[in-house]
Amino acid sequence: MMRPLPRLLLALVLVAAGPALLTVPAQAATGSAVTVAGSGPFDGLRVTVSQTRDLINQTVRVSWKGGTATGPAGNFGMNYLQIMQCWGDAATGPTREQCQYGGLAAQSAPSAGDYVRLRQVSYGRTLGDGDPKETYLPSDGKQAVVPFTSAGGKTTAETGEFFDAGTTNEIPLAKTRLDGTGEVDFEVQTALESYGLGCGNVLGNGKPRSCWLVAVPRGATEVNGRPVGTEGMPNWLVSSPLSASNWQHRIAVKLDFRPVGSSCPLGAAERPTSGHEFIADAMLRWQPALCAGGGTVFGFTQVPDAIARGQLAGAEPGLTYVTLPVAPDAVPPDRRMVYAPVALSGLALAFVTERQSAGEGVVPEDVWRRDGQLINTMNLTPRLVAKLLSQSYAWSIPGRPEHLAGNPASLTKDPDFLAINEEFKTYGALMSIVDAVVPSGDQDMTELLWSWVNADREARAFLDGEPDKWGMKVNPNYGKLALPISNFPKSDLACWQPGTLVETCALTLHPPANDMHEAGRAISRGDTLGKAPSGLATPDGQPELKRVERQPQGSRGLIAVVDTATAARYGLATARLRTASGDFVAPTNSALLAGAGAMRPTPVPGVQAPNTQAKTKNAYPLVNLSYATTAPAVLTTQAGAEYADLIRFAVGPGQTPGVAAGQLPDGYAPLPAALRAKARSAADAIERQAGKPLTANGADNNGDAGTGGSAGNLPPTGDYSAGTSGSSPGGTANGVGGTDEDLAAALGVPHPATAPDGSSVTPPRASAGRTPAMPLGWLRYGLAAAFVLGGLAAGGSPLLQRLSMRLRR
Amino acid sequence: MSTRDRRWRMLLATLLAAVLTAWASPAAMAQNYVPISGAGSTWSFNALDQWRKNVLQYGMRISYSGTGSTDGRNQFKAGQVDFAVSEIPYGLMDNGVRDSPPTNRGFAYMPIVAGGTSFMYNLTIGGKRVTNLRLSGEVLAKIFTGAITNWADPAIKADNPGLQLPARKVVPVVRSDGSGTTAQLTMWFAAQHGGIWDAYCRKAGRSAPCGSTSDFPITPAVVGQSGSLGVTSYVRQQQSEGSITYVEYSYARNAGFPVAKVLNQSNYYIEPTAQSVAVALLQARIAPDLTQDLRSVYTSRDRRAYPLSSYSYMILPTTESGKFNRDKGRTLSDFAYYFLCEGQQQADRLGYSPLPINLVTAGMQQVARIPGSTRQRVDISKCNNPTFSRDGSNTLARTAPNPSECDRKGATQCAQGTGGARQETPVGTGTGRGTGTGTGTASRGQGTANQTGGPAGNTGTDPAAQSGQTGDSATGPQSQAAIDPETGEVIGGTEVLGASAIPVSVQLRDNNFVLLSVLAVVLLTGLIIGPPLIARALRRKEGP
Repeated sequence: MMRPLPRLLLALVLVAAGPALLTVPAQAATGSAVTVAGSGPFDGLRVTVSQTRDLINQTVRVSWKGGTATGPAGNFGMNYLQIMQCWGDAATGPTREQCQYGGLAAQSAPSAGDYVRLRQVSYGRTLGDGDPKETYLPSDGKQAVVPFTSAGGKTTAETGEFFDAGTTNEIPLAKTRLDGTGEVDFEVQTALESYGLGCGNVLGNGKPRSCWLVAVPRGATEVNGRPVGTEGMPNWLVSSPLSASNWQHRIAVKLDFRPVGSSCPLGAAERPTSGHEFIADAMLRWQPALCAGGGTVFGFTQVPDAIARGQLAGAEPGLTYVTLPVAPDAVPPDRRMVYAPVALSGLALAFVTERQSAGEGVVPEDVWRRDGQLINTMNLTPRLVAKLLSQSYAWSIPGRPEHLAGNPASLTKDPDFLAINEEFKTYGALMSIVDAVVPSGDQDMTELLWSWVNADREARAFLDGEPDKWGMKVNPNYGKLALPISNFPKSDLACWQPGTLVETCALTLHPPANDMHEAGRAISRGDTLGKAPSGLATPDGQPELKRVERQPQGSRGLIAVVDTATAARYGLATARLRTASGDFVAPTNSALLAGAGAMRPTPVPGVQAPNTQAKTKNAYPLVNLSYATTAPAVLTTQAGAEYADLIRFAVGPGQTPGVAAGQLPDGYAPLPAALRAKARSAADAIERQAGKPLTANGADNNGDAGTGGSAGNLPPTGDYSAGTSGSSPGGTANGVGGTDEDLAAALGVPHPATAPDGSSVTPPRASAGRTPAMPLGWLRYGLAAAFVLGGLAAGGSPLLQRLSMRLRR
Repeated sequence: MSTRDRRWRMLLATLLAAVLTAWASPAAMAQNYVPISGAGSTWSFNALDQWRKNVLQYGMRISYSGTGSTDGRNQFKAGQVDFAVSEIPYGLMDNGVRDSPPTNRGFAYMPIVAGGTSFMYNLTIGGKRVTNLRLSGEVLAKIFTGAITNWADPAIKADNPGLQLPARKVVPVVRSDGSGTTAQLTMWFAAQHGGIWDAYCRKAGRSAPCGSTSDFPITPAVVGQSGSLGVTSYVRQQQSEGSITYVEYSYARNAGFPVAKVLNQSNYYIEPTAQSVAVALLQARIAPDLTQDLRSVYTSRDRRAYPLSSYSYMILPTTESGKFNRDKGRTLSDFAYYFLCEGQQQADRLGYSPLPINLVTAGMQQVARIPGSTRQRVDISKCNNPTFSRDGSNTLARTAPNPSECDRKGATQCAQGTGGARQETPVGTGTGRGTGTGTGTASRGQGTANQTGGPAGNTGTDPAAQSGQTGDSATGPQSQAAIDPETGEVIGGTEVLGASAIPVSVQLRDNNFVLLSVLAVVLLTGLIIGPPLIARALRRKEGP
């Protein structure tokens, strides 16, 4: 069971705009959860912060009960919470000048009253006499604004210097559900993320500065004492949470931080590493620990697996992270590859789905009252994944085109899905999940995902054009999709109303994300990344595009293909996938470990590949074991020693789960002892062999080849070929049940870029164009024979004729 | 005790010490960096995004959104971001409007990374991806202006003597958003192929001479997509066969797609690698404000040069203003120092080309102008940049290999793949005397492959010249029959099937069954009527 484990997200990467509206609870890992009661009109309110001690830059779960439902339905008119982080060394808590709020002043969605996102506390005539308790008053024609005082002592009435929409963590509108409860994930920021607050900076007393989380509850009464919607009053709240009358009911929770750690010294030459995205989060954690105290500073460059393998065969192999090894015949003769398994994670279908029943009046009250709550369990079969990844739901293409007529509008309208996801029958009523947000680059794991799909009889039949038993058919643009492939095609490029100002294209409306991190972050924010026409024209008369509005918190319904570390980072739930044995398994640590145990040998001895068809109980089908790989013979001795240290650290302290520098982020399963031992002996081999060219006969000149398990010589044939002979009787092109096939496919030919600049392994890159085995069969050979015969005849007959003429003469 | 153990213990000890000092001593706390944010170019996004992640370990928090150069410049002007990244400076005329520089904040241009604007394409011959396409500037200009609409066009054929390109529609895919990449491309068009470019502009309703523009004039002849990732995604789809677009090299490489080799002034077709870009940019003229004049890059006489090479710029604030203060300046200056030196080490791996020393030095002078800069005096010798050498020349440009002879304009064509698709595409020599039918070409192609190998005899592959590290030494460059190094077969055997002329109708989707059936019929017919016809032809030539 995917019991959301401590979701302490070290949100090291802080990208652009917006509050961290994350979704899976950050439970009190340290047992430091604190609950505080409201006051005055809010005395029934209980606000709980999941963790209040030993904080770093991470998210905490803020939950509450005893509130009044936000309304009116679907809007932020009244009854919501406004949440912010403040500094304040006084035991009595922060003043409003010390709070990071107002950075989202320009945000327009979801819509809310004019001043609720601002620091301005004068409201003109909107609220008549205004706030009688307010001490900041307009003067000289200037509006009254609560200034911000930074921890460094600077006071400014301008926002933007200390925080802005791109950096602030404020949540101006947090929704209370119909049952009076609510919850949001809140990103706590250290001094590195918000220097205006300075949280975690070590003070004169040697202790790190603590800060505050402040929730300002808002009811249905305005600062002038009058209920909204009464005569002369707006129908919704308009005032700022910093207005004195609102601020007085604030709920403040003290946050104790760890001291902000020291960082690597700038200017040192970085030791380069590169490789697939699966290792990115772990590297981010390991880097600052590895450089501490004068250690090596490592750089990391994210590149697709295939590019990384090409690099291993190139002039500067460095240390690269890959899922599948370099094909033996693509290894240049001057080197041997050494593989060290360093991190275990998985590829997941992550999702954020909030209950959206048909609503009040349609379903019973006890049903619709739960609307907005998260659903954290989802079962997916290979066929359902095939449907999501082949643009086959009717609404995935704008304008509901003819070629998808008859298909369900979206996932939650698909009886195939509802049959194994009971809860979505009721609560998926208003969702429109039409596809998955996918990364754009090539990945080995993408290829394995497709292998998993391809090996399933139903999924393959669906892709081959056979309707499922409810009549749903694959988008014809994916006709007979040849699998596996290492990317996610978006084959349907249909546009709706082309040539007009509202021309809407499938690719623009549902584009791929740059990488898995962008995909995961997007769906956690309710963002499809899509763009749609605004209806206006550019100066050239072309349709102007704008971003599709995000799905508001409480009514999100999105799926993305991401690694498990990314899912954990952004607090996303992960789907349970159907395994070859028919069970549904989520990528929990134990399932990842079981999956690792069921991995299969590859043509490279000692290196294993994920087995998407494992029948082991509770084994997740899409595990990823990241191999740190290098070619010591072409490294310098120093590089070899430093890479060896990196590997030893990674499989040593780097496998301790936690949120601190050097620890293993959530979403990775700590490596089992056997794999760690393998990695350590690989590290030894790298250090030993580094800088020593191979001798002429290809043996390592120091004679210790092979001792390192994964290191050493590569015999021409591995145990792989023995273990997998007799694959796929009859060679059914579908590869149904062909577990051998998929690995062979994954490992054998289709790694074009494995080949170092064209040395060997030239696979048919366009796998989609491969000749299917069935329709031509014998004809192929006939053709070849005819061709050869033709060539011989064409060339030979004139000669023969001339010969015969000469003979005649 | 082994060295390993010692090192291990040392590591542990230092770790422990670091933790302890962090807990105990306030003096150990250096002044923290403050977060900064920027926006702009998608051309250089892949580099910036990686640098941003790597400086996390130095305690820097940088956010960057790749919203396009035009948007970046506008946001900087409006004071919404601390820095912008753009391929072109302020002040250029675009579509009759001048993009005026900011008036309320001081700024400077600093080059951040070099790269090649590449032509990524999606093309197959008989179901096999073409990876070695070559195009001249004029052909490119005509393609992107709708003057060449078919891949079988003789002009494209002239660039690709070894390929029998299908009669498929050319689909030029351009950026629909305001883009520095578009500005780079159109600047080149305007400078090198002004006539073709202006004619297109006029057709699109713009006034000519058109000059460079960030907004590609959209007509029915082109397909518009938003962002570098947008055009890349469009082109890579199977359904987009026949399409071609322009992006920074890294995008094509990450997508696993080839890029066109572009003809340079010395009549070589060159791929935009880190080295060919570095060579070309030796000719860049840098103005005092560090903006680039690329006209001599376009016409570089060096046969290793890639013509469409350029720099990307960061627009830096040189005054405090609104939200930009000296604290942010400190972060920005250290971030800049990082990517001008150490960050350039990653350029090649990322699909870019590192900056040469003169630009790094000049860039450092701009960094010193940032308010609060920590980099007033920089010892450039400490800067770990891969292009630096002792004698001041650009190492990368100096060591750049000469192009293979098969890359020269003429009768031969290299088989070697490009970009993210390194696999070879079988090539034949020109079939000149077209005998009309498919049969004729196929068998003739097979025959000529052996006979007319050209001076270097490298019609097929040239493993040794391409990279000094190929696997099988058995198939050295000695033989002049083009032997496929893996299959051991003569290229032109069954491979000719893949590489030669199979007339593909524009509408007809690639379907092996139809193709092969047609081919079978043609071949069988050829088998029957071919020999007598050829024999008769020969007899006639010999005379009675």
